[in-house]
Amino acid sequence: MKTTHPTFAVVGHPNKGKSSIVASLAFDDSVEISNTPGTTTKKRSFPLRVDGKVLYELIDTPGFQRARRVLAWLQQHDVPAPKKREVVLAFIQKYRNDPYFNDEIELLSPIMEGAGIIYVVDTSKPYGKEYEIEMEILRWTGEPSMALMNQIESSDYSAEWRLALDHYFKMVRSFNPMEITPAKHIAILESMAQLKEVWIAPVKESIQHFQAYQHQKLTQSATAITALLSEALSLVTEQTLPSKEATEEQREVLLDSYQTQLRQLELASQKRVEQIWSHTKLNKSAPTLPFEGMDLFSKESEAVFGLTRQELLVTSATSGAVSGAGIDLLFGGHTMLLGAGIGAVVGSVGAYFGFAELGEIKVLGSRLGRYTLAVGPMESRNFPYILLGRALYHARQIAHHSHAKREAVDIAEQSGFKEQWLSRTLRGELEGYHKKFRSGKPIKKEDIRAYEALVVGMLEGIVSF
Amino acid sequence: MDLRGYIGLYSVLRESTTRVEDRRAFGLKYPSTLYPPLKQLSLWVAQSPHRDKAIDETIHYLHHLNLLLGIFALVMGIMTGVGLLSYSGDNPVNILYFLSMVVLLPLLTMLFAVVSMLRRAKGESLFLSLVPAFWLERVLLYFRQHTPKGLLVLRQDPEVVKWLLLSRSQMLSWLFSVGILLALLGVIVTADIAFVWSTTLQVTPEAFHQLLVWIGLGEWMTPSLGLIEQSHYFRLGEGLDSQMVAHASTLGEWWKFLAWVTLLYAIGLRGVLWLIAQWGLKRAIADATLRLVGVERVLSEMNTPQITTHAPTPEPHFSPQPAHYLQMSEALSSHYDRVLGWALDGVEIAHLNKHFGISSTESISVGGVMSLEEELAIVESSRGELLLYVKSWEPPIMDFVDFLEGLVSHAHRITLVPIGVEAEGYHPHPQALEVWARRLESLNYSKVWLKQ
Repeated sequence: MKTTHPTFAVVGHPNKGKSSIVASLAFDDSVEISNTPGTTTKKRSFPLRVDGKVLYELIDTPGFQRARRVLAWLQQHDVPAPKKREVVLAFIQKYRNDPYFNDEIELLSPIMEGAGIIYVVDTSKPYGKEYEIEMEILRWTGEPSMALMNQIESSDYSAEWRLALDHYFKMVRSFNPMEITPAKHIAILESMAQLKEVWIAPVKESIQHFQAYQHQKLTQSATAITALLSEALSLVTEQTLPSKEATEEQREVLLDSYQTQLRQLELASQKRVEQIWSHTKLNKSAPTLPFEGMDLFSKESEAVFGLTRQELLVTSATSGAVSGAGIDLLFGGHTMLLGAGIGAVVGSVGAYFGFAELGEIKVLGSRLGRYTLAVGPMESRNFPYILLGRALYHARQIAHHSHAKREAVDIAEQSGFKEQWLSRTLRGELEGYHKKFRSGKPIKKEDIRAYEALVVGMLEGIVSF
Repeated sequence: MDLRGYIGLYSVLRESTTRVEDRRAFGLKYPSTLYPPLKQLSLWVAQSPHRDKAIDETIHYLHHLNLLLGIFALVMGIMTGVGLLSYSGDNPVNILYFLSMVVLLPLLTMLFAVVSMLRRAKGESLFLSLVPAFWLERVLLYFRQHTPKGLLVLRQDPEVVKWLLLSRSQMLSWLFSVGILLALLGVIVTADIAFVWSTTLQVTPEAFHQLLVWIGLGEWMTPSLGLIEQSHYFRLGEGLDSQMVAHASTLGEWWKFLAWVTLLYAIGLRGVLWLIAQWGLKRAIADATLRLVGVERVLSEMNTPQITTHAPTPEPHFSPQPAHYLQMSEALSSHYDRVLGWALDGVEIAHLNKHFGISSTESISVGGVMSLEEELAIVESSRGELLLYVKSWEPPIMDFVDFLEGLVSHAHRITLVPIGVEAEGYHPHPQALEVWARRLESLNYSKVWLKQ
């Protein structure tokens, strides 16, 4: 049965990265990827659906297992080129239910149903003549084809591969699924669309949807990050006390509980972002990714993601001055900018003393003879930047993490990250919202929206499309 | 969106198990370009298969509560009216009491309601706890077995609670005033009442007339100055004076003015406030609906194209076990009866023999592009001890397995050597060697040995 939408069958020798390519192009980390041949035994479809309508379809197939025998069977039929396709169909018809040729049938069926051929080779290993048998079989199908050179390891034999592939395929492209970016993704889709003229328009439409899809993920991530910031900064942890005086131990327990809750909020937010980017397997294998060993409250976190005392003083002074300037305006400037000056001083003093202190632990009034020990909302002026920095960094790493990768996310490149997303102007804007989040008053929806818009802007700056 | 829709939405958001696909399908059927968010949500709740009995229970409860309180207010109004107009025949009815009840009190309570409307509710405010409807509901709830679930939902939003109470209190006040008006009309029809005005304050009939003109919004319904003078009553006279008795029929004329101000303030103005409260309640429900947890997500899912790229069915998990192949050969012999190279040409085999220091009478290429007939002939002629080179990076495919199966039935012993690339001194990667060992383990050929 012929398909009506563009379909691409990813075929090749076993263990040459077919499943990795499909996983990365379909954003699906559930694809089984292994260096053991025969991991893929059945063809598997990955349709791009927009509101249920399939725009194109990728098909992951098992690798060739008995290519020589298939070609030998085909070559027994001495037919002119236009008839070769029928011979392949006859082969499928004959061995459809024969487990001996299971992999070849799974591989050739979608092609004979009209799928374009994406032939995958590993150019980090030397070229071998045995591949010519597979390429010859694909030529017998008569379907349009292209080759993808996937360099799995560092050694490079692409030159010799290209010479051979150029002989069999009208298009040869290099593609590393481990280093996929949205731009590379779109480029490869555009190449695939060239296989058949009628596929150009639907694939172009798919590309537009992909771009919208990426932006959706970015917006959803911003919503998750904003929720984290607003919830974490306004968090209050309480504990009932039998008397008015709290012991040092009770205070420590409460602070510990407060920090644990903040860590849990961060972890839940990270999981949400991972789900948004369809990285569901990361959660199972490494629940604390990507900051394992680097605690939210560690000095290292503070140094990498937080502001310096000087940066925070400038930010708070500016923010305070803006508030004070409002009073000057109210008095038509007759206060000679005294309001702005006082605001700046108040802001600076607040920032100086509230630089690192998480929150004052206080005993609240009695209720039926019982007292409450409470900590929060967050008092540290630096903590929001640490939390936001970590959330943005995590989101960037997840957005850039290929779905073909099965190893943990790398957090080696941290230096200079803060400079990538945080400008002085932005600091001023953020400080105003952090103040509102920390105030303990109900947070207005408009403030949440505005903060989300800022985070979207930050993510757009650090996630390369 | 009404109260039923609001409570229903709350219930659907928490308990419904609809899928994202269903929500998007709904959004495509009722696009946001034609249906604003509240309309979409209201239709979604109406079409939701999830039905919560608590919604009907709450709506019935609210209807019954309003009906009960409404009847109570009406009866109270009638009784108050009759009480205010009670006339023994000795003492006339002082209209000031009646005016206080239908003008002064409504104006004060309406002012109070307007202040409550303008203030943003943050919980149970003092203002609201002063509203009689608040306490009437509390009393009625006290006699119920349990509070309806939907009512608890409504109470979660202070603004909804505020407008609900304001709307109800305006309705009750309106009905109370209707009761007073009915009492006035009833008493007027069934009894002969002498209305007077009496006050300890030094108020001249002229000043009082002026005040009534203000209250009655003009002179057309206001009693004449003459009537006001005639109905000025002083208690010291021990009953009606002779002048009053002489104009007994005119003293009853006051009822028209009293009915007019009741209609104007206690019913008309109160009615307007009731309408405003209902509008406010509608707006509060609309705002609260959009504030409900999960609404934004639902609207987003309805109105954002749903893009999926993953496979419709999950793939069975595959976890390879570590290889435990026992027939491992640590070193190679210097001589073999035949050396074979799978997918390797003669030159490559010669290089490998030289590299490993192997001598052999025959070195033959197999696999690759060789025909199956040629290969079969080689298999059938293979005897003794064989060395078989394979490319370690190419996994053992079934074509190779078929070949090996033929070979083991003819040869005495086969040593399989997975080789790495020349640039790496032909050393295979451990992972590649593991793949080969796992495959041989599954084949379980006693004649095949794997070079470590």
